[in-house]
Amino acid sequence: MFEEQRYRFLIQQYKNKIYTYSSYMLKNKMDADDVTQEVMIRIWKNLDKFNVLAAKTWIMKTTNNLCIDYLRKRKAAEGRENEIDDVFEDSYSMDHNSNNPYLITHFKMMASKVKEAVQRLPDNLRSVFVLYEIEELKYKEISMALDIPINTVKVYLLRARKKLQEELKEYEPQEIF
Amino acid sequence: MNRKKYFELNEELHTKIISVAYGESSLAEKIQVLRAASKNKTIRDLLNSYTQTANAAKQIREEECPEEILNNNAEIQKIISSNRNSRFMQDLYSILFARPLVSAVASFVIVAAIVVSLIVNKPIQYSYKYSNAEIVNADQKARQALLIIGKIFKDTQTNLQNEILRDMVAKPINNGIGIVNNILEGELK
Repeated sequence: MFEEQRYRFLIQQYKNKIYTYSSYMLKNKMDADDVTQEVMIRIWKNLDKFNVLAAKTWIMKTTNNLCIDYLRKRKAAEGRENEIDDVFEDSYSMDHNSNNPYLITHFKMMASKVKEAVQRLPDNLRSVFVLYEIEELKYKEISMALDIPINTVKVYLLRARKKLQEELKEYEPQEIF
Repeated sequence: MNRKKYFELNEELHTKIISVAYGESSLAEKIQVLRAASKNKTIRDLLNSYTQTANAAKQIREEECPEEILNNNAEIQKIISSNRNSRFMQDLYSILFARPLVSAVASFVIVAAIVVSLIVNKPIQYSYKYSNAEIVNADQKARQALLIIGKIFKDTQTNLQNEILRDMVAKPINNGIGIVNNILEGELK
């Protein structure tokens, strides 16, 4: 009885993280759906292998491994990659303080540009960036999920941020300081 | 020369700019970058653009996993749909045991409630019960004692006002003042 409860708890807790990470890594809704389902099945099969309170790392590691497998198998198809824009359209926060319509529109467009730019990052940089900035995992958790040293995580994150900035160079910044 | 190099963009400063933009820098680094930005337009523009990107990245939230992913998979449905009647147990388990902070707070509250109730509601045990006559007798004796004490305070007050203050304090002071007046009058003459 408790196994099912643990499983349902884990699914509710982590389904969005799994789906988000898969979406960013695979850049394809169908593949992201497949990976998400596969991860959920693997969680059930390995339920006794990890602590419920420390499941995050195991789940993200499994998700990452499956995404890598899919990326290796899949052939590049530009038509399929264009589907992603619809998936990502509205998933950003509007909890900044401004009611200025110009600023709201500007933030929306910036977030959309950033999402597109994230998808153009190399796989290793993209995985670290998504786990840190969007999934809000800590360095140690990312290190364990991706099976890389913590310093490598920091280096990849720095490179991802630089690469992202290069991709966004064309988009005109506003004066802040 | 050193002052000029301090505000030039190099790899180290570039890394610090990124840390400041993403809100991960120390106070010293932030001050250094802001100072450099105030002196160098290139650095300022770079900091602005990184900050814009960082703010936009922070706006991005997790995607909602579509329900059909769970609903369309027979194997997952088979697992989830079993034991639907024990939803209450699942919720209780997830609230109490899967979240250590909630569990700890709940345990503390329960223990504190038990301890407080034991202390507050502890019955007072009387080893001896007094009869009504004894209680009335004790009350009378207490009143008599209070009357005596009141009389003593009154006598003391009378004594203080009429004898001590008048005879032993006011009189000698008046005498002294009289002597001083006589002396002064004698001198003036």
